[in-house]
Amino acid sequence: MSNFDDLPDWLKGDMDDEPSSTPDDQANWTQPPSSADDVPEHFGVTSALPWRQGISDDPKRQTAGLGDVDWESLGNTEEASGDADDLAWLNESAFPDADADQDQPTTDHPQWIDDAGFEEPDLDLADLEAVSAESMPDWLSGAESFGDEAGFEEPDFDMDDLGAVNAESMSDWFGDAEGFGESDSLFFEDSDTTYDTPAPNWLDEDALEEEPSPLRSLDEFEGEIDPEDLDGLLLDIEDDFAFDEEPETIEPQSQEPKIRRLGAKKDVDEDELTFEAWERLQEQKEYETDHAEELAIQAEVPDWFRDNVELGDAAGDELASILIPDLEDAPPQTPAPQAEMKADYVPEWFMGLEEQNLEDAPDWIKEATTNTDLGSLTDISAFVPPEPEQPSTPEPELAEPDDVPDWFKGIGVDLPDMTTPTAVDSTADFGLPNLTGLPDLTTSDQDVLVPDFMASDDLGLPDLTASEEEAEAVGDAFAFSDIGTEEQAFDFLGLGEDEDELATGDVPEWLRDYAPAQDQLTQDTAFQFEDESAPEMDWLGDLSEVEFTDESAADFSDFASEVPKPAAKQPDRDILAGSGTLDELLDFVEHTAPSGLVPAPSDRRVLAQQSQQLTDLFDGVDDDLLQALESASEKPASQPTSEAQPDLVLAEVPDLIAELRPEESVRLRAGGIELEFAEQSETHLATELRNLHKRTSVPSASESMPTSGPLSGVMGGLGIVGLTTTAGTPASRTGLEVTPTQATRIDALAAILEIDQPDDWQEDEGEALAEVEAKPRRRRRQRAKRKPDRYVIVLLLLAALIGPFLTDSLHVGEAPETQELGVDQQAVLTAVDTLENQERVLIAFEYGPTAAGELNGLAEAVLRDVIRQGAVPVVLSTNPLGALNAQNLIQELARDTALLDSIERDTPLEAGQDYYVLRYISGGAASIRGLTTSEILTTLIFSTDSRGEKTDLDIGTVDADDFEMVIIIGETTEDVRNWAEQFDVVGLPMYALVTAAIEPLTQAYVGAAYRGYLAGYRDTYRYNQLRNPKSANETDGDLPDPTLSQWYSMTLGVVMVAVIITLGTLINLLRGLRRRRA
Amino acid sequence: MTPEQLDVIMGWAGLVLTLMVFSYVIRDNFLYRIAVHVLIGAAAGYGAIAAITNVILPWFDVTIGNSDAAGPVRAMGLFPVIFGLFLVLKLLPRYAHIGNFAVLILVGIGTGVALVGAVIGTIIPLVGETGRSMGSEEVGNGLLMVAGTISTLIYFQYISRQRFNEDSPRPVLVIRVLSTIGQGFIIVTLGALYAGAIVTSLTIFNQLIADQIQFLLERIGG
Repeated sequence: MSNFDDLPDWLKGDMDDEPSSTPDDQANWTQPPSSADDVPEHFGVTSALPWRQGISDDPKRQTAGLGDVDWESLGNTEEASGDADDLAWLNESAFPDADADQDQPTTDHPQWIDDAGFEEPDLDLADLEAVSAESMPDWLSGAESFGDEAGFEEPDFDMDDLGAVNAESMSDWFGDAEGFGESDSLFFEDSDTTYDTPAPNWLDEDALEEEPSPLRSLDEFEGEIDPEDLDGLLLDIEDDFAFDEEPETIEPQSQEPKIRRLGAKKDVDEDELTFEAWERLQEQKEYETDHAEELAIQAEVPDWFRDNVELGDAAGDELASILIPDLEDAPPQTPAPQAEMKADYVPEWFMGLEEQNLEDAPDWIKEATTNTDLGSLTDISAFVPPEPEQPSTPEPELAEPDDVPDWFKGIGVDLPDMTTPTAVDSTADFGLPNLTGLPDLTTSDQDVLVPDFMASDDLGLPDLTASEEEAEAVGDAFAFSDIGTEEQAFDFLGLGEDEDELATGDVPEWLRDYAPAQDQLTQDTAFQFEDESAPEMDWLGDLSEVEFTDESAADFSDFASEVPKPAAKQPDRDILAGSGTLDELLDFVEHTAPSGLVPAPSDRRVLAQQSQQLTDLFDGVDDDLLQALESASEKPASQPTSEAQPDLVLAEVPDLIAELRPEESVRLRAGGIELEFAEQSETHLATELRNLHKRTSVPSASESMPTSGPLSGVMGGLGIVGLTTTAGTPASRTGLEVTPTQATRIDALAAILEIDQPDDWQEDEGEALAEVEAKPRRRRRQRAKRKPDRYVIVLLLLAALIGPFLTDSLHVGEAPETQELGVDQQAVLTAVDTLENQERVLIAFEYGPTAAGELNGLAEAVLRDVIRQGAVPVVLSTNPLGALNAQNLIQELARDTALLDSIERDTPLEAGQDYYVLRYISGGAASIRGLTTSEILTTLIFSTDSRGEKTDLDIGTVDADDFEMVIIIGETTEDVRNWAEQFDVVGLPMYALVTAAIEPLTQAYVGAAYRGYLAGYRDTYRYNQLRNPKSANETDGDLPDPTLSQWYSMTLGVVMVAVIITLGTLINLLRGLRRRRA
Repeated sequence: MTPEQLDVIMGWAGLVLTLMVFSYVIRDNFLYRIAVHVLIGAAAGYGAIAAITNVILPWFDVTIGNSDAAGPVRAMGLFPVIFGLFLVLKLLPRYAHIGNFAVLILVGIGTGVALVGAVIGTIIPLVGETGRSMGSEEVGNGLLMVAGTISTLIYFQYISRQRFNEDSPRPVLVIRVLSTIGQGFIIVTLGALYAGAIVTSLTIFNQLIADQIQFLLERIGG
């Protein structure tokens, strides 16, 4: 709460000079504004400031500019004239002293305040804690430095242009300020509230002399300031001091009632607005024009009601912007779409009961009802207690249904018979209304409505019992514990604490009509309050009286599960009948004892209904519904309940607020109001917040030393925190986010109505996803698209390759020429032909099994010729598989009879004597080079053969004396190149046996490194024809010669491939041309 | 088991594996994968055995295990062991930097050998051959060889020039022409190589077919 000591001095009336102003120019702020346009802005003060001249469009404040200000006339008390009474507020008498008794309200308040029906607030100003300087605007709190606070911009004016306003004349022109009304309170809606906050120092004459202030420059103005010229200036002062940007203020939560600024509508100077602001302003004006009536109705609705009541569609539209739009802060508020509203607490089944047939209702409902019309459930008459026999006080004039505000009607919840509550402590927080004079609910013809918030489970309404003994006065519906003293509670309606002070004019008329007389309070009424002496019902009692425990705070959401304590002597049906609200109906169905709820004995609301009400309530109820209720009513019997069923706490605190509120006392200051909240433990956090807190908890030091990873063994490192966010999960199937309490209620309703709910409608969608993820989704293998063209090509090639082996008719072409070879091929034949007996030939088998099909034949042909010449082949390889292949090949040759016959041997060739197969040589090109440079390596290589046996090859480094020729058999270009580059021995010729694929690349080394080469099957066939005719394979039967057949097979295959490639190229070319044309 | 029996078994195994590989014509299947895995596994296994038996063990026998060998020789036998251990340390992130020394030796020696061989064994001889061909009757071949070599090398270069009034640089005209010629040489070369590869493949295939048919004929026809 604000400290009235912090009020500006000018509000205290320290000015010595009487204000003077021109009556025609000043707005009569002391009189109630006749229209919104007449309500001055900025307290009618800022517009009078010199620097505000010429800014506003208001003719009253229109001036050409600051330069045109007749500063000489400013503060001219002689010329200035006006109704001094209009500025009585400036007089000291208008304001009580700071030390004055704050409990005694001032009576010098404008009449229009009284006419509006507002009572003076019963504020104990002395108890109000001082508002800190930070929470108040500087110009109100008397900040020395003007415009230095955060969020405050310096006025957009040039101090040099302020003219000759001096300290003496300041009071004059300020005293002539117009438009300032007591209603333009910054802090409280109650204009009767007095303030002791001193005026800012810069307005104080003494302060001007002592401390520099921007307004000191006014001394530079010559002459006096004409108060007439300051008309309206002060009204705009606020524009100077604020602010293109909003000052940093603590915005109250949406559940908290916002402070309502009464009346003062600032006349915004559109020239100063930005485009967006102007646009918003235009929209707001348009909205106000279109919804003028609605806004007027909305003005009557208290903020607390709006924030906590779930209304139907009709009321929702009206209350969508129940807050009086703050033109300065927010853009025009458009009616909130229905989808954004919270769940409607009135289920459809309840709303449509009147359409149901009693025949279909459960039996127990039928027994309880006598009326076949289910619509009587919604008949408010069922909730109305019987009229007292002799009302001691004249019945208040019942408000016609039309007199009830629409927003109240549109709630759609029928109120039970409500008695007038006790006088609520007017110091309830958040300006919760001290609703006195509630409507008289004793008349059955009257529609008595219960605000939806009362039935709301989230609000933690207390369990309504039918026991008279347990009936206690209702506290505030939104009680907060540890809220502070009563004095801190704010009664924004200014209803006051004292009953006597409650006047009919303080309560809205529509509400007043519903207020029964004091003596009409009976136990039969719907609500009984603790303080029966209170003439009026107060839903919103003193919050501080509520015992707000942790458990109760945590379990507010479980209100629906509270077990309504049945009346000792009443059957369950009576209890159900006694409940006039949906809450009780569901509570009766659920019948689960609350856990941990600690009642506050002093704050319980007792619902006392008569059986007749129950009968009327369930007239026409569906049989099934009644049966469900009846069956549900049996649940409490089965559930164990303690003997001393705990009294349920009056859970006035909304669930959301309860969860977010800290347990320890925390002060919240907003707009000059200071509130205290009690802190909560972690358990009171929402589930999501609690889980987040756990996940992000910093690990201990021992945990921060990982044992693996890049930071293993590093002490003091930051712990690895898991992901605090999880992958987004899809929204629930129903598209609604409901609290557990709401889910429970929905389940109960579904059980009653026998509606099949999705099994997992409430479950976390993540669970369903987890299940899906747990099951390894079997990946469906996609069938490869069949390609018929591939099959055709394969078949053709097979036919071309296999056919020549089977028949001579497919021997297409001519056999290779054997009479004349190429120069390079002839060189190989010549070199082998010159070999003599026991001369060693170094042969390198540098190919693997992939090229064995082509090179084995060529290698065999050359080896056969070399052996037939009597030379000794020495085989080595830098390829391990090549060495193995070479060993197998030579072993076969060693047993070949044709070869043995050609060399006239009877026994096979012996390894290590007739031929040598050395071990695999590792190192690649380096090892090849080492053969000519490294004796150690050469010795190591040639000393042991592939069998591991010692050889008699005494070779240090390879030279021309050790070997007659070197034959390289390779399948890749690298094989040929390595030997050509690394093995360079003068006088030692090299020859290459290669595949057809690398023949072109081998030709490049012919002449430089190699003396000749043989390539592919072509040279194999020709070499055999020329050098080994006796070794040719001979077949029996009608099959063609395999060797020749192989040649023709290869030839036909090449032709077939060429045809297929050509044909495919032509087809693709045509298709490409067709696409281009298309 | 006699060698003849082994030959028969190996023949049938070869036939089956051949058919399994040929099944790839239809589509990729597990039979083909089995055959490929058998090839790779057998080759890798034999290669490991060959390296141990043909390289490592004989090295130790000659150096470290040779009592008759001199001290330096025996000490030199430890170098491969040490370098091998360094390379093994590359698996440990903490000591991976130690294995860089062994990698340095391997890369350095290999690079040196390859570089020297490329210059001495390829570039110089080829240039010499090309020059000699200019003075002989094969001058046409020589010129063709020179033009093809130069144009091919220019094709892989990007020499451009940006004029004042142009948005992006454009290659010089001469460069564009030579690049186009080089591209032609490259196309012809790749075509010739592809043709040779086809011939090689067909040769291998028909050799295989011939062996398999012969095997079948021997088994079936006796």
